[in-house]
Amino acid sequence: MVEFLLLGSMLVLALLALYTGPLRIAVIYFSVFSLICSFLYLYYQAPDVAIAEAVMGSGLITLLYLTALKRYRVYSVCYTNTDFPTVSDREIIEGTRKGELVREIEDFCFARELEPQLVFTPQPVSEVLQSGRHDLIIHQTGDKITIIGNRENYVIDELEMLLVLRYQDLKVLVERYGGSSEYGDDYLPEED
Amino acid sequence: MRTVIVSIFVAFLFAGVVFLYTVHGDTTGVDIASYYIYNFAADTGAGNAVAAIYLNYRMYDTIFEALILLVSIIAMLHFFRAGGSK
Amino acid sequence: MNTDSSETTKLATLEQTASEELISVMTGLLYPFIAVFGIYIIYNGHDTPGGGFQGGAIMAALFLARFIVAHENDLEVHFVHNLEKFLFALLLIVPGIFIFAGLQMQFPELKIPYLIFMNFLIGMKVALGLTIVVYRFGFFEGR
Repeated sequence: MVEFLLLGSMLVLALLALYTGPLRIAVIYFSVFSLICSFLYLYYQAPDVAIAEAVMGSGLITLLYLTALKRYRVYSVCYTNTDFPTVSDREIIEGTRKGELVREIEDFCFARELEPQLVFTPQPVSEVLQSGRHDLIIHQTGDKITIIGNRENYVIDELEMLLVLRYQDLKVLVERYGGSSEYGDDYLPEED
Repeated sequence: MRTVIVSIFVAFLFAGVVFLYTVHGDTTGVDIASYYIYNFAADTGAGNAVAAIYLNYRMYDTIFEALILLVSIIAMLHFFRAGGSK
Repeated sequence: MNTDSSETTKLATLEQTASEELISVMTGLLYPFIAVFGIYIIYNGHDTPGGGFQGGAIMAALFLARFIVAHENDLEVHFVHNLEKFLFALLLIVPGIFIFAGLQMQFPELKIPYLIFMNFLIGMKVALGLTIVVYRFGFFEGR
């Protein structure tokens, strides 16, 4: 009975680790999977293998994946504004409150050892999304600012928290697309 | 479409492996296993049969496992761009 | 608004450093216990479940915890690598003399010291090897 329960939970955890979007959570699912696997080895009276599986599977492999996830270095940010055909750097970088937002994102990236790469483009969002080259897209129409990021990228959660803390007066909206490969890149925000 | 084909292939492979596992007639002789179980303490002085096997009866296995670890580390230091070999 | 927001960010950074300090202090407390556990598993590998590989993996996790907590990048990779080559040479020589040359028939009282010594060799080799691998992959790749 215990055996089938453990085997079933292993199956569930393996599927969860495969189909979970945010990668850090998937790594934790995988770690729990190998913990249960090690318990199952113990149940089958192979304590040697159980110790090895517990140390490797839920210790070292989790450590390796988590540090590797932290090491995504280049973080490319794309700023689109469909109101104006050309965007001048000065308008964004100097003075205004919206420029402050861009600088804030840059500081945020530096604090996490990411290298922010800013790109300004007048293209509509759907084209930028389809090119799939950018980790984060800041889209502005008039006063409304939309920040679009991939659901699998863990940085966007922290960024959303920062924006909620500091920029309540701006109309900033955080949207996510993608997730697991099932959904694909079919998310398009409505243009208004 | 591709995922469907791949999943059908994997299902067939799984069924084939399970089938082979149930039909095959190859077993290691009972003599070897019982020899290890009854004589390992006298032969090697170990209390743990696993240690007796990997440190005495099957020493070549252990040596080549250690060699694999060493070779993988050499390869890793050699090929990484961070510059392992100065 | 401005003072308010600066306070909130200060609070956030404060929380971050506080949690990091919590983790480092707890790891420091657990450090000797994990070390003793790993040495125990290697030392008693010939009598109880465990052995060189398992104990070595535990020691590797211990060494890596130090790099995570202390934010230090001072692993002398080449020294460790040469040490590992030396250990592998020992791993070839010792069983070559003791088992393949038939010394264990003449000196049966050396059997248990041989097992313990071999477990220690394997444990040190695995610990150093895994430390190099995870340290390189996790802390250096992607630069």
